[in-house]
Amino acid sequence: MLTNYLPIVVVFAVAGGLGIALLIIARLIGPSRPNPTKMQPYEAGLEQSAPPRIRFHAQFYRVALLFLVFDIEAAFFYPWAVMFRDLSCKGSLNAAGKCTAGATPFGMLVMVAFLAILLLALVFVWRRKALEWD
Amino acid sequence: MSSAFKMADFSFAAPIIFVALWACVVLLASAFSTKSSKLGPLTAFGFVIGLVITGYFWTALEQPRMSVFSGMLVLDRFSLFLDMIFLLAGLLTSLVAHGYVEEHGFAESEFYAVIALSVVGMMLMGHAGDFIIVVIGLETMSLGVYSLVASWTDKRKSTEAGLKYFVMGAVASGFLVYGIALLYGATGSTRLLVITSRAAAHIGDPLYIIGLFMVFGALAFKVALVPFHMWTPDAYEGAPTPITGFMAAAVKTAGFGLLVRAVSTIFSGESFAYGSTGWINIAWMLSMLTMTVGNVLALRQTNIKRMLAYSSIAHAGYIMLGVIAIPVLGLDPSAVLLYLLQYAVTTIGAFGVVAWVGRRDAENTGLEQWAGLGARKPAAALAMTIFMLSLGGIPPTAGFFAKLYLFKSAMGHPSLLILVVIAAINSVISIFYYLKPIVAMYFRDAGGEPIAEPMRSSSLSVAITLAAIIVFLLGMVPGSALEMAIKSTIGG
Repeated sequence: MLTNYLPIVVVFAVAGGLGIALLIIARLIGPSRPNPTKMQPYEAGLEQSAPPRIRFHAQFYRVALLFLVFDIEAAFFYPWAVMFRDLSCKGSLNAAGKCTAGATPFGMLVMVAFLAILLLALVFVWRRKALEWD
Repeated sequence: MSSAFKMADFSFAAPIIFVALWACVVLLASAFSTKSSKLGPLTAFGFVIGLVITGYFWTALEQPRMSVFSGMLVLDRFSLFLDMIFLLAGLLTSLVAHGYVEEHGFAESEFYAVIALSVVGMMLMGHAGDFIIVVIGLETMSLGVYSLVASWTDKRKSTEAGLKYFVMGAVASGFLVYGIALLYGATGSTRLLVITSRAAAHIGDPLYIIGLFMVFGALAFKVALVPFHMWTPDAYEGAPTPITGFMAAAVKTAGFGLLVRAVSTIFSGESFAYGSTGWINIAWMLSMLTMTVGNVLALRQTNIKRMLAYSSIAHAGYIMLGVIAIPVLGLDPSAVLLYLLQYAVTTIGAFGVVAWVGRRDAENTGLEQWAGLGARKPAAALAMTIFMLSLGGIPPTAGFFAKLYLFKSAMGHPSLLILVVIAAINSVISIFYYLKPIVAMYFRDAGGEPIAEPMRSSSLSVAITLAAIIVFLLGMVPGSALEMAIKSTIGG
């Protein structure tokens, strides 16, 4: 069982070992002559223009939050689409995936209800001007 | 798949669905109206309709227990009675908040919709037949209440209280979910009744016992039992006053409702309940500690909100006594339900008066600021007197009758009798601090300029009057409410 994972362990060991080995070799045989320019963080070869830690505008968090909500909406569509045939059937599906009993609007209604709630949220954030940058 | 869900299930969940829809209506109304002047009454109106629907379900329910959504939700008179407490609390809170928010001018428009949505969470908790619904309900309620506590964004204390409550509450939720995971690992189910039926196979199973105790600890946190009470005074003091009342009334009721449901299902196993390490023994100790610590610390408070916060801890101890009596004496939960009902109304009323006394830039929650209020505002002072007497358990108020009924029903067992005696002594101690505001209002002279000048708000007056009438009626003619509580049994 666990021996199946042995090749992966070997890959990680080789990759990690090689990295560490190269660092040690460079430390041992490479000349070390630091100067201020060399010690700067590398920024595409140009001189550093801003501190590396940037404080993001708070607006970004709001956009990220809204994005998350509507992204999850999309994520919910997949399982629903996969299960749609089951959800729309009064009985259970047969082996061929055909519905043996009558159809029901249940499958459609759950998604409509979900989207209606989400649409409400969209209307709310829109009206409250959360989608505007200023 | 669809055979597990029936369309008819939706009609049985009508009270919950209605309140959720009404929250959407309030949210839309808040998005389209430029000023939030009518949102409080609009929300309150929704709660009134919700009360009517729930009341209809309570009378029309034919079976003692209905299982809907393939056992996810439970419909019995116990949960419907709890629903009515939540809706009543929501109704009074939105009316009190309407006046308070107008006066202090702080809340964003989603304030009322969040109140309604947390009530939805509480109702889900009351109806839960499965741990999944427990978690969803608890989170819906808690996330709403966290943001309500922190909703006064201009006030540092409110933000601080919200953050503290959030961090502590998240830990408790973590415990709950971890406990549920362990129970699922041991029994292979999240359904309360299935876990209960498989309990016999797990006597002495550490996974099972640790899981149950984690669930118990999380609920003890939500209802603020000592030693899980540390967050209470800070969160209660920092929150906007109507929300403090809402927390003390509705959140506590939701926690105890779930605890009673657990007591009649997953906590009912002989080996887990009894013996020196059984939960009843531990709950006995927690109950004793809670009422004593709550009352003793309340004695020293000069801030009314903080005093009422400690008083709510003490009341959690009394209610816990009633919860223990249910399995020990084989009682129905009527004593607990009646106590929760009267406590919810009384405490929202008391916080309502506290909210009433504050003006913009001056909340006036210090006892010394209440001096001479009895002469200047006799109506407010009278209402506060009724609420304080009810909290102290003095006739002819609701608090007296509910406490009497609770203590009397618990006396049948020797070890519970000791707890009842401790509770009675505690009640006597508590009268001392409940009399403090009364003394300040009537017997202390403000001298010179009046310090606290109550705000003018018709909806706040309506809420306080309504609460005072309910408290008075429950004390004078408790018959029909008691009968209703006795009929509200846990089905199955």
